[in-house]
Amino acid sequence: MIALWLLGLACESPARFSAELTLSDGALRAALPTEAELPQGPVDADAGRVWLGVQVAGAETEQGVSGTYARDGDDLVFTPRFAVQPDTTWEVAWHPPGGQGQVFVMPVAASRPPGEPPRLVRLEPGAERVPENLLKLTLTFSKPMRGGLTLTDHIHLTDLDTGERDDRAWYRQELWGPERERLTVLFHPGRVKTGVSFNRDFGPVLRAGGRYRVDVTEGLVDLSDQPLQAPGSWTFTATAADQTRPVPEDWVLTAPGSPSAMLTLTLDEPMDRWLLEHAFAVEDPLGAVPGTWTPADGGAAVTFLPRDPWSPGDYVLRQVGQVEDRAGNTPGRIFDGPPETVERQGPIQDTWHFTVEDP
Amino acid sequence: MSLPLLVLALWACGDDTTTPTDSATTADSGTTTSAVSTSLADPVQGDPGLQSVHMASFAPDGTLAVADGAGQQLVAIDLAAGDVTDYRPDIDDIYQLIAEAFGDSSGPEANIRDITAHPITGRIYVIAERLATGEPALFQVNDDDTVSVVDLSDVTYSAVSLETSPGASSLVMALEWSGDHLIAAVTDANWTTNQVASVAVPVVHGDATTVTSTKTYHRTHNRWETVAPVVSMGTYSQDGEPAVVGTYTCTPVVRFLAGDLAVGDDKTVGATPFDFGGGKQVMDLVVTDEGLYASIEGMLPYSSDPWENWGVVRVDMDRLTQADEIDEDAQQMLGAGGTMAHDDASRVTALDGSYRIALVDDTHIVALQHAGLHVIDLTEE
Repeated sequence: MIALWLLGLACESPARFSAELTLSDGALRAALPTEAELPQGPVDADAGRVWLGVQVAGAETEQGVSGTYARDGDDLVFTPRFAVQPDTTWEVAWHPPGGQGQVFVMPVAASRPPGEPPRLVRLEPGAERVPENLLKLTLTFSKPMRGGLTLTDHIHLTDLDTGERDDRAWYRQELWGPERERLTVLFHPGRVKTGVSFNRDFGPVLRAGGRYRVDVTEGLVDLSDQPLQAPGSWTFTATAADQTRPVPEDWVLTAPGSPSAMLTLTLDEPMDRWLLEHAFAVEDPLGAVPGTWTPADGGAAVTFLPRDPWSPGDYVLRQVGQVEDRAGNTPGRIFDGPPETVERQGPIQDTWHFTVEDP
Repeated sequence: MSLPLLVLALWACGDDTTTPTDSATTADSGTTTSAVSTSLADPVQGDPGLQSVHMASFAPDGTLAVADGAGQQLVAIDLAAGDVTDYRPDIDDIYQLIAEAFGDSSGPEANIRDITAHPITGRIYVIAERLATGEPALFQVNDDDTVSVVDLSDVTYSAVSLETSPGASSLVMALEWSGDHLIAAVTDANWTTNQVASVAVPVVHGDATTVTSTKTYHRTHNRWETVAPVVSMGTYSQDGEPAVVGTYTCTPVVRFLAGDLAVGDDKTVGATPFDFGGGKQVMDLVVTDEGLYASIEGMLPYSSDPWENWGVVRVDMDRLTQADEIDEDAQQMLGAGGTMAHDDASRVTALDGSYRIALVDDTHIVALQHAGLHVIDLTEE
């Protein structure tokens, strides 16, 4: 995609800016005078800069753009280390050995063409009622997004009963998924946990019976600075705190009834959706069964569809990753509870056996 | 000096003992070191394939450890030491310098994740991420207040893997060398894990990390915690043994023996010698022979300028190492609005507005302060 909006850098034919300077294949090439005594190959950056200095136009310092220098044939070549962004203009100081210095202003990357703006695909949990000790929001976007946020500037929590916005609702740490399309926002754990200083000083974020709205604003932008096309919101009512652990022994496995049917695991309460997608594995006697896990019923169930139709036989479903309910409780421990009850003692079920019958 | 002579002079500065960089460097006339890493064993040569640089830390011999959370690895690199410098950066806008090195025109285009200093050369390094692309980079701060990218694409290194939840990328909150171990505080993009990963030093390429989680007493709510991730770490010596001190989202300061963390038990129990107190958030900490220094949000009276909310407190070393007032008896150090709640704590006013801090030596701290990069002489405090 980047190649679409790069001017000159990605053109098949080089962009010529002077008798000596051209942009070609992502690099700036300067034609050296014939008398230049410079060996072929890499050139020390300090030396290269003396002849061919590259700055961003309008730079406030003489820092220069990071890159490497090399002699290639009759050219001194500057290759930027980092991807050139749209709307970039370089100010190039060309001081050929034995020649007169000149400065060129060179637009090296054009404005990006209008592209598909980012959308908020999901704002979770998204339920009408959630416990007052809700721990996380998860925002899923249609495109990779830019980080470096002050979360409260872009994601607002409003108490609908008072009309007041809570600017201390979120923990400051941004938690982006690896592709930067998923952002997990933590309600400040110090306010979710009872008895903690933040909780005492500022009160809990949510109170049972209260009505709230989360607004995701267009201040969130993608990697090309395009704002959210359709900012989203979620209105909900807080219910009593959930201070109980999920109980795997109460989960119900429904085996597939035919070679093309899904396996369903019904849970005892809604869980974090993203964790559910990675929490389980199916094995047959030969090993792992490839397929797709999909949360269902608002996170209260998860289904598995194998890549290939089921073969009749015996299978094992294993829990291989963490699951958490909306309050951060896991089968092994309560996120916030009396110390003597926080951790569950004894074994916890983490395997389920099932059989696919011969149709 | 004529231009050709200047070029020749600059050319002569590049030798095999200088860290490979690719931007302006004003050579210092100080001593060039040639330290050999004793912190690596059976390393490999090449590109470690860093997908991210969350944190970085130097071993006493100058070996650089890099936490690549997105790449699920810790990488120890034999980084050529370069010149010893006594230059103390005094840069008003480090974000601007880094943005321009990335090829961007304004400072807000970069996120600074960590700062660190080379223990032998005194050179300061900045770890940054380009916001538009997520590209990570390690920058060296030069003696003319410029920055240069350190090329990590062809280095001698040992890498060990990090493992967190399946499908999740790791988020490394802190990274330290402590005695015979390299230790990382790790969570994930869902904040579901509280892990401390350790690897023995010398770091053997492909070796495994041992992983534990921590069980710590949080004085402000009188409760043992097993869920909270460590968010900052420092190292020191506890009764002659290498030790790590860590902080959490809540405000206890918890110490561990490095050897205990390295055992890899399900839970490593820490000792809480003090707590900063309500409404605070520790971002970074360092430990000198004299005391623990922590940068804390909420230590100063609230301001709409985020930088004005950061301050640094110093807590006496005796308070960190003492054995009499631990866990349930831990004392609170800070009060409200910049006040001290204990005689063992004092505000370091020269570091007001500091977000990240790192030790240059036992008497100097480099700070990311009001968007600048400044070195503070602790003996003048």
